[in-house]
Amino acid sequence: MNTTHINTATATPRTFTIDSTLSGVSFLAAARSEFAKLKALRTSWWLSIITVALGVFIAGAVAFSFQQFAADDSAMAGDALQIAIQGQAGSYFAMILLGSLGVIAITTEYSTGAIRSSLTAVPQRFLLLSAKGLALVIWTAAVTAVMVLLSHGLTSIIAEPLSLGDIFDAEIAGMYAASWVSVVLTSLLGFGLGLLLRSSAGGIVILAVIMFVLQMVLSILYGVTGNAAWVEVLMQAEYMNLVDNAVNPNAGEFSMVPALEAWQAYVGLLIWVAVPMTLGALRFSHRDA
Amino acid sequence: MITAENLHKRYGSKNAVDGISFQLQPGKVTGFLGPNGSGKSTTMRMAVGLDRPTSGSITIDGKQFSQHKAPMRTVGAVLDAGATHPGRTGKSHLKVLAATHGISASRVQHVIELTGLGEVAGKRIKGYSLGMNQRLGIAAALLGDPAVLMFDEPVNGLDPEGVRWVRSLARQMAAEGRTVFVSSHLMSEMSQTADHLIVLGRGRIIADAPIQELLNSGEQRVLVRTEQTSDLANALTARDVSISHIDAETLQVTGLDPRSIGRRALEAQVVLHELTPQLTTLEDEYMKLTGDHVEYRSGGAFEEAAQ
Ligand SMILES: Nc1ncnc2c1ncn2[C@@H]1O[C@H](COP(=O)(O)OP(=O)(O)O)[C@@H](O)[C@H]1O
Ligand SMILES: [Mg+2]
Repeated sequence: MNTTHINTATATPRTFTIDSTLSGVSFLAAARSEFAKLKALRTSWWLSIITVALGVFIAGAVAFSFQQFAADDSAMAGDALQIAIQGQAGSYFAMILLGSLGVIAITTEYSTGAIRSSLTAVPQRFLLLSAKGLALVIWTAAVTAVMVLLSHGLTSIIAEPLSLGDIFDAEIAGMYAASWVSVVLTSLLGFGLGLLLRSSAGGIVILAVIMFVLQMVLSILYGVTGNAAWVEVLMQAEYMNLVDNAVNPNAGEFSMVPALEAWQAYVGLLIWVAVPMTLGALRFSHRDA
Repeated sequence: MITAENLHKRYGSKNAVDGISFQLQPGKVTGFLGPNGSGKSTTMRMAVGLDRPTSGSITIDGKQFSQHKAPMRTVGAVLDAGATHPGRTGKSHLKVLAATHGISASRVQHVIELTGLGEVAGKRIKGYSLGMNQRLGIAAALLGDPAVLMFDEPVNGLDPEGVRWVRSLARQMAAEGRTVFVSSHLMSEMSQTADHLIVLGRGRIIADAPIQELLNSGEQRVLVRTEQTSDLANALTARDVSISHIDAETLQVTGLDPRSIGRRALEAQVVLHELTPQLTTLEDEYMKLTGDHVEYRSGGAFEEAAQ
């Protein structure tokens, strides 16, 4: 037999004990680990860089065309708030891009099998999930803040009457904050969809349907049904309508359906996010990994 | 200490683990032996909470794995080599895991060196060989300096040097008083590493004993050659003795030791040409134990096709 073989039958039995002064798993430590995961993922960086670059580019383009129109026809010149709102047009791309990041943050763990490593380090599933969610929120909040601020800077430099200092204007700052919140919520919506569907493609497609297709389908339905009241309710509760009502103080001006109060819009958005998250979390906490 | 109590796991209509109970002792390497598909991996996945038992329980020191304050310091598990993100580097994989328990960077470096990953730790896991992946999995399991180590088929993909290293690691960890649980479908692997064996077949335990006991438990067979096979067979016939004719001049006798056979041969005036005790090896024992429990047999058709 092997010469390194130790005869444990005669050796005094020893039991290894864990040093209880060493740290165990904690929510903050788990969140730090999840944040490090996002940072180590190339996709996170690509999606984030594209988000900021596209957002700033669109802001610049919008500001430039506003400036052109204002020079030709002074009636076309908007007020500062109007320009600031237009300058945030890039946030729609931010929603789909960072929403996709939300999907991928969880689905790659399944497609690679890394979820099994994650769960052997942090077996409390709800804790792992919350830590992941928090890390995602911090990441997307930072990326979106950079995008909003840079877009504001560029818009205010190009287009009159918006100025750099208008960031402190309560109405404009509030609109920026709302836009920022909707992007972060959308990334959480993606996270919930990824958790529920466990498929990157599935999650991203559903997210795109929610963002781009639902509104169209409902508008057609609205026409077909001769402006039926129930379709109107659906149109009001539709995701992008809620985003519009939360972000744009003038929402409803050009809309087919009556505007909602901002708080109503936020409640609606929270429900949109909470439903897939809750179903996904239930699936995650009860099923085999 | 790991305790399984009437543990069951069903996947659809399949009973992967069919009511097993066992207890693993610290300071020992317990081998978990069984043919492919017998439920070893499923049992180990349930031990760390990846799969939920259909009924029954498997606990570590009386608590479910997820209820421990420091899971990575409680159990280090190497369940499958692929449980990593291929885009990350080995080092970043270990750092991410270490961060969950506030494990230091120097400990990360230590396990990297211990597992011989120094050269490749900075490279993406995508390019790792199966052996490197195994080593990375072992490094991750060791990070928390855990009281229990669980290796699911650890030698798969390792080179001979790696296999020897895993064996001595398992022995060393057990000598330090840890509970070591190693699965394999190869008997030969177990006979070199384990102190105790749990043998599984089709989700059920068919043996749970110290390895020495399994080795000794085999009944003794003796090979006897003589020209007077029928005379000898008559002389030996008794209860608890079975005699089989191998060929015209050879008998195999079970239930009598060579000394008694020789004496009775003399009494019956039978000339013996050969009298050889046959040692049962652990491998034979395993084949015997699992003979009725193998799920997939190599079929003739497959072997033909493979040629
Ligand atoms: N996730 C799963 N879904 C369905 N069947 C499974 C699953 N995991 C394992 N099985 C089945 O359970 C049985 C035991 O598998 P496993 O525990 O992997 O055995 P072993 O590790 O001993 O080879 C096999 O028949 C396998 O096909
Ligand atoms: Mg297996």
